Amino acid sequence: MLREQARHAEAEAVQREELAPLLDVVRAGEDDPLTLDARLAATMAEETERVTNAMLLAELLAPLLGGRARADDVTVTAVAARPAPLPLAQPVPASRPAPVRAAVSIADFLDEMIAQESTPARPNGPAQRRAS
Amino acid sequence: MTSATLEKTPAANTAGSTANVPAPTVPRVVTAKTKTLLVGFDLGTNKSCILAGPATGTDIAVSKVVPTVVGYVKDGIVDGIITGNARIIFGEDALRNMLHVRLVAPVAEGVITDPAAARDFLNHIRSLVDPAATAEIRAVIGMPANAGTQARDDIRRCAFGIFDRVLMIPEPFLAALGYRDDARIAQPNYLDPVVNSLFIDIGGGTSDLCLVQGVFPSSEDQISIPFAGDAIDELLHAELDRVYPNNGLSRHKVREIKEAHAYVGPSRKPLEVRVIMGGKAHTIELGDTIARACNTLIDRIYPALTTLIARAPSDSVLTLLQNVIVTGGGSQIKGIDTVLQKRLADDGFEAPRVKLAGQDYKRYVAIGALKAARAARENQWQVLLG
Repeated sequence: MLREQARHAEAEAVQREELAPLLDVVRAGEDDPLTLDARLAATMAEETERVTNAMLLAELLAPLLGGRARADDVTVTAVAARPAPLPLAQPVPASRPAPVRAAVSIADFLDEMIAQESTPARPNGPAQRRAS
Repeated sequence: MTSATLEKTPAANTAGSTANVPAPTVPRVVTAKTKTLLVGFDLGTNKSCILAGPATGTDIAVSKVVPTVVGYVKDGIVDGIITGNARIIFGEDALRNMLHVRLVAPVAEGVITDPAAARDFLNHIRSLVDPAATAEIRAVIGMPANAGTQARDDIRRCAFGIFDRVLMIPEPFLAALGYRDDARIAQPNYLDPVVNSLFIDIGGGTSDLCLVQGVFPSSEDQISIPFAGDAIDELLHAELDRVYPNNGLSRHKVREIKEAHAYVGPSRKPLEVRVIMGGKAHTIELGDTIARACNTLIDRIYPALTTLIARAPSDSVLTLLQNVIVTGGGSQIKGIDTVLQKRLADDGFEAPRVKLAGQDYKRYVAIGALKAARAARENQWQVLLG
């Protein structure tokens, strides 16, 4: 979960300070540590995939369950300023969620690109802007 | 001594009217399409990269880097001087024969400025990808960040009748797709560049910066600066003319000097370069000259870099700062990663890490474009209308 939220330092700390000592205890009582390690690697891979899928499902369901649809955000606020940064305890604004390890396909990215291109640009909007 | 010059048309005003695109000067035989080929196309100001392969699978049938230049053979050239007595030549061939051709650069600052030459160039690219002219060609074409409607329309008009379908996608996003190691996406420790990164793509005509954070970048996530490799060449050329008047060094030679010795940061002296001036060998000291020209690039890029960092959601910035990636030809400037990283750190940014894209820097946009071509759904492709 921490890795999915890009909180890698905390994930490493949990792995190092909490998980590793527990595994050492289990290994000490295990006849075949190699088999244990293989099972552990398989379990970690399964759990990683399960969390990734859960995060993706949450992203897909959140707009349907009560947040604004992403398309509405793009249409209404295509060139609006980003919301001011919030304290860590607050949820991230729906219009610009913090990045997660989402299984978004390239085709989905292209849909977003086409949706942006279909949105009429404001006069003197950023679509025509180039830095000097 | 005859000197060759490269014709460049200044980048058009995006609000101006579109020039008429003439009929193609290279005839193309129209035959029934027997297969589909996908093309990832980085149409660069100085160099273009093309990757092509079948629609299914992962094979790459064509992988080429071609200088973006067209050579129209001058009248009166003796038979046999130009291979096959061609009237129009391209890329390296055109540069090799620069004394016998009128060299035209169809792209400036990342956008088409000479539609006729661009069309000839695209026809040449098509012939590289599909010599038999029997395939349907679908091309994903990289565009500078925030390229305007006119630039896109110009590509479409030039590509009509050459590519069957196109998709135009900003280059720094394609670079992120290309740089991404698909085999490592599932690894928990992998910093997926498509999820949270800032790409700096320094080409010949433009330096494009782009936030890539798990969604397709909006116009606010991208900044395009019309200052890049060519601008450094101009500065270097002017400086050489000032310090060594009447040196006679061509733009091509100055570019060679830049590509061999470019660096940023404190001046490194002595930096001695051997050149031929007036038929005689000279050793000239260029440490300060090169530093001044290249450091100008840092001064232009850095404010755009911090602007984009400020636009990223605050929760994402710590990881973002670990994933600042420099690609394009400008990534070969010695010390550019170190200098940018140091400036960020000196300005108080937390543990920044600026990385170079690596030896495949010429190909990442095209790699990403081919990935996009293979992933695009049928209804996402644009059919070109005349």
